[in-house]
Amino acid sequence: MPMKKSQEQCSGRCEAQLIAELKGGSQQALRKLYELYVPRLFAFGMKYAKSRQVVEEIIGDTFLWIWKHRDTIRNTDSVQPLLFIRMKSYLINAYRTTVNAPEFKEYTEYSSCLTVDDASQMLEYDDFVRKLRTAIDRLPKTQRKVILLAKGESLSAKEIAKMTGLTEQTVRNQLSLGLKKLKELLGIQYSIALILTAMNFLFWQ
Amino acid sequence: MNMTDSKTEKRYLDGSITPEELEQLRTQLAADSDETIGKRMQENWDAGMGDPNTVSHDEMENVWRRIERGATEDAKRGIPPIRWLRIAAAILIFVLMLTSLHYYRRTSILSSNIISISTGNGERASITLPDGTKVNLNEQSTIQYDSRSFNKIRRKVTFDGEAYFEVAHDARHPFSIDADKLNITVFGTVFDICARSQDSLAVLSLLEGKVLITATTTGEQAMPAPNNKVVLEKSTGKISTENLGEDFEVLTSWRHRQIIFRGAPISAVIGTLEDAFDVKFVFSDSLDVNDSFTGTMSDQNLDIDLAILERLYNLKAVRVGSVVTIGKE
Repeated sequence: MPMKKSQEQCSGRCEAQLIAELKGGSQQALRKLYELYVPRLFAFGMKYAKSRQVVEEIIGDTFLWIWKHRDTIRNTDSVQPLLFIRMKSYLINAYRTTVNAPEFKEYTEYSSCLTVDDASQMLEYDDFVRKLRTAIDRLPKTQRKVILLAKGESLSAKEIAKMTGLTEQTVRNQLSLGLKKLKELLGIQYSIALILTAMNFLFWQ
Repeated sequence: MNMTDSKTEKRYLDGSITPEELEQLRTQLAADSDETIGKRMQENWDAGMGDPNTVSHDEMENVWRRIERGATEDAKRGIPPIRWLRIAAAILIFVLMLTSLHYYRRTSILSSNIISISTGNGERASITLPDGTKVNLNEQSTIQYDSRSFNKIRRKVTFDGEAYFEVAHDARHPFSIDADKLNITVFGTVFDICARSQDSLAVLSLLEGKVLITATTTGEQAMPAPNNKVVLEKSTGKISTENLGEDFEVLTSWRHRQIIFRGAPISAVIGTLEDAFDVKFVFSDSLDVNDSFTGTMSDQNLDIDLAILERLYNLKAVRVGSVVTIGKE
């Protein structure tokens, strides 16, 4: 059965009817409202949270909330305001989290270094994070440690040296080797971003 | 930057933000309240931001399945209110029966009674364990202990998150903390530990006393001196130690630790000082120990406290090693 995506397919009276049925305990009505609003909610959520996984969870939580509190719905014309307000509270947290995540910083470096040709092949955020984590896990012990500290904790070579007991020079070497390995594992486009970061780290820290 | 408009946010939403702009956005969001962000969100929502084709059919169905499951469970649980009373009464009777049975059999059963305290996002909690140990839990942290066996041979807790511990001094019962990939044995101390199971590093900052840290994957151990920070790299099991230096002031400045007394008899004050500084007070003359003391004592510097006592009660306090001799002036 083809899914309905356009909101125009449900007129004002149609939605009022659905809400009445929903309050009466109809899961069918919930499903119809879901089909009506999810495309827009999902797209909006993705803009802020960037991760499909996170947005899926938020959407799920939002609709479950609506279902659990269906008795208290007062606006009998449209659930749109309620849906948005509910999702907004989850989304603000997700937004803050993504913006501050070290992986997202990596992602911006990756995406800002893509050439026009590669742009069509650009990885989505979730896939990028998965690939990056897998690649980092494959690194030898010390290289991984140094990379995690340099990129995850944003520490300088000096601080990493202090923390790990390695010399500063060793830290720089390990970072350089690690980034080279990541380049192999991740492919060419991202490696350009990595090299620029490495240069910045190696020479100006 | 204009509060109601954000260029960097727009570029973030478009997917065209550069790393430098991301740093600016981070600063801005840290300063913005949820209300401010929410307002901008509302404007964007009303303007119809987002391409409805973003979501795929499969995704929609996946999420729906989860909603359906949750809704069905919830529907099953829905019971008309009147029936609730009857059910509640039946449950209550049943619970009472169980409880009396439990008490009857209590002495012959060595059951475990796990107490678990957790904080959520943005929550903090302050708890006191049965031995007097104070724990200040930061957000998203959990501490667990068995109330029946705690204080019997060892004082053992399981922990995940971040907390500030003030462990009560009890040499007969070592205090130990089990966290992800590490174990800490404590000897009457004050420290801050950050050991979240999802983090790759665990950090313990020791302010005073002694702790023994063991990385459970490698068996590597460390026993830092006070004023030091120990970092465990979980994936390798390697422990490194670092002086707190200036961090010490930062870590402790918000914890102005003083001992407060209100109308406490001198004997209580003396007892507290003995515990806090691990010293023994000896009286060369018999004193009128019924005087009461109201005020604060430092729990960092015994000499200051002795000076206070000297002045207030016309005493002379002489400290030799861990023995303080008190006499009349």
